[in-house]
Amino acid sequence: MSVSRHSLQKPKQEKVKKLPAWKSKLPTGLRALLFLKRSVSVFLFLSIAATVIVYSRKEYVEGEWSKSYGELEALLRDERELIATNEALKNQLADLAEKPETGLVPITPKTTIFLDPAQERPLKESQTKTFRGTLGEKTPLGY
Amino acid sequence: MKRLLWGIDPYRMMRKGRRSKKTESIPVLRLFLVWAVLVTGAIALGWKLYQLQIIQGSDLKRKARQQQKSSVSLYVPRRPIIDGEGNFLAMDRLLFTLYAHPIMFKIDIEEMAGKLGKILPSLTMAELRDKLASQKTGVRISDQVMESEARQVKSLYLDGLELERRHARIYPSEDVAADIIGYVDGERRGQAGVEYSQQTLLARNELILPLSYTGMERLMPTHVPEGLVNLDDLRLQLTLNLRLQRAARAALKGQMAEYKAKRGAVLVMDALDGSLLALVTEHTYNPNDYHEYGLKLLKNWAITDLYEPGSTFKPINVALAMSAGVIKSHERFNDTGRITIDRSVISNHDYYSKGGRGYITVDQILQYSSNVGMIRIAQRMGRKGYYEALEQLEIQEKTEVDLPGETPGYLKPKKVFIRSGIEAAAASFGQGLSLTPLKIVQLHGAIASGGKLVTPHVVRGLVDPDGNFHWQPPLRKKRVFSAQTSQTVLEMMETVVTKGSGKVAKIPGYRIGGKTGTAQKASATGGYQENAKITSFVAILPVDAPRYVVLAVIDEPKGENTFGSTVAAPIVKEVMEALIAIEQIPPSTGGSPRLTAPPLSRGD
Repeated sequence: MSVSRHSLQKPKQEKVKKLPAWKSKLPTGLRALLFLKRSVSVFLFLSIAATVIVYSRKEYVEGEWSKSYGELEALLRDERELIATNEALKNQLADLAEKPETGLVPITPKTTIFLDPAQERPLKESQTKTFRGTLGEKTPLGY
Repeated sequence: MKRLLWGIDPYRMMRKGRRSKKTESIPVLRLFLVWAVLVTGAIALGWKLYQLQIIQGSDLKRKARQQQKSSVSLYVPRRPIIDGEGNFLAMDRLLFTLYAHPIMFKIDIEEMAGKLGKILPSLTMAELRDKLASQKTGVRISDQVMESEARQVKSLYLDGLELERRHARIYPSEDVAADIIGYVDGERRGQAGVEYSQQTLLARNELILPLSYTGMERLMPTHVPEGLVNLDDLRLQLTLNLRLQRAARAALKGQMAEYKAKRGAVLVMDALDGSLLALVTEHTYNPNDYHEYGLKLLKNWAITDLYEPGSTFKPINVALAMSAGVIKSHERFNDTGRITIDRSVISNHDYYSKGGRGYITVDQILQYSSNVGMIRIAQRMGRKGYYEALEQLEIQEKTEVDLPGETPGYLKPKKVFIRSGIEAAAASFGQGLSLTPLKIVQLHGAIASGGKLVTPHVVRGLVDPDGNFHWQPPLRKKRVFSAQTSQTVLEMMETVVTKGSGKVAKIPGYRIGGKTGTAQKASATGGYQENAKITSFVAILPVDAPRYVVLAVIDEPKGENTFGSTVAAPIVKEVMEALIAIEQIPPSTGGSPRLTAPPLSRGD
């Protein structure tokens, strides 16, 4: 306690010395290493950020790919089933059509009409005249 | 100050120099300890990393692959087969067999039956309940579960259900084109028809890939090999026309039933390039249930079996004689009705009713189907010349049709043929030599195509869904007659339909050339069978722009009036009627469409 009181009473009047800038006193090798450290940190931070972005992107694309592939598989499956059903129906109808009770008859030349193609007509001369004169200098093309 | 340690604040270092020596030692020790811990940790981590990545790397990688990945056999369907119009004749599909193991159920049977009943409409609730209650494990619920149904069953995520995948080849047109398409066996190998002969074009290896799936059963794209998504969707297109095939089958079936025939065949060929538009043989099979039929039915007898063509071969002989320059179309030959050659008596089929006809023209020989007239024509060529001409037609070679099991035709050995006159005489009216029905069509194709022997074929090529061809078979053509000869012979054949034995096949408005054939069947012991004959009719249409060859062959028709003209010709007529409608062949009479356009005059 007494010490402290004493010190309060008699404050030292020492002048605050200005410290020399430490940097200037550091050896060049250390300064270079410090610079390296800082740049590596920045680089590291950027790399981590880039990795996170690329990784999330990859995961997203993979997910999308899988989804689309699933859709492709489903579409192919549907196509197969549709073709099978369609062909089975066609066959069933054709079988039915062969039975006389359906009242359907096969196409024969007798029930077919063949039309001769109409004679080709010569193309008519065009009635509208194509403008062939030169445009006068005074006539504006448009406003 | 003098010693520099990594990771130590330089400010601190500087301050340290001004402090008392007492306080100096503690932070250094502490700092060293912290540093040591960090460095040891880093080294230890590095070491572990080295161990995991480099030393145990490959081993761990293998273990990981084992856990993440499974070899998945990817579904690569066998290529579908389509007809000339794009109708599917054969296609692959996946079918599943659903097994249930009630012992593993976590819900009661009633509930399970309810859930499955909603997905499988072919089974009633009662049936499902009975099946599920019948056994503790391995209950086969259905072996016809469709792909979409199987997916729904899977998505229930219920214990005690098991799905087994299998490939099934379905033939929607059933027995209509079985003779051409064939079938595949349980191991997906083609066993007949195009399925067998075009195995290399149709089959694609199943891809067994190490694929990774996520927990949601989604494919992970990390190791997906190239080409997985881009499997081609090519189809094998045939030249066949399903509608014509159906019409031909109906016509053949009807006539076979009427004459209780043993077997029959109808072939339609486009002689321009040899593409077969229809090829029907009876009896046939349904390739969807091929195992229910005998092996005999599974072959295409129009390609595998030889027969003596009889009179349908006569126009070919006339063409050969005309090519050799030994006869002229307007020449007359003495038809005595019967003739003795090498002590054998050969007579016309109508000798007992009509006797000899005297001098008749070549077209009349064809119209009356005169054997004696044909013998006289063949004699003009000389035996050696005739034999060599027959060899030019490649009778003893295969036509190289793209269907399996083809048998080359048979001619008597050259020595035998030249030594005895009876061989050449018999060959002149189509006996003593054997051909497949397909070969007869090819030979008549030469008459229809202006003298060229074309390769009959059923495969048009590999086509994508937009109709672009990616592969087409190479085709061969060989000139055997001149264009002039073939047209003359064709016009003679036209008189067979207008005036002769082929009247039945007449279609008003169309110029049709034809020839009947009724041949005795050779017996296995030599000689000919008494009551067994093979009747046929061949037609070429239209005579003014010849293109299509239609042949019908009926083997062993029963009854009184069984000839090519009565049994086979009506079939050919029916098929031609369908052909005209399907291929839109305009009538021969009447104005032909103008094909050349007048020069264009344009207004300025």
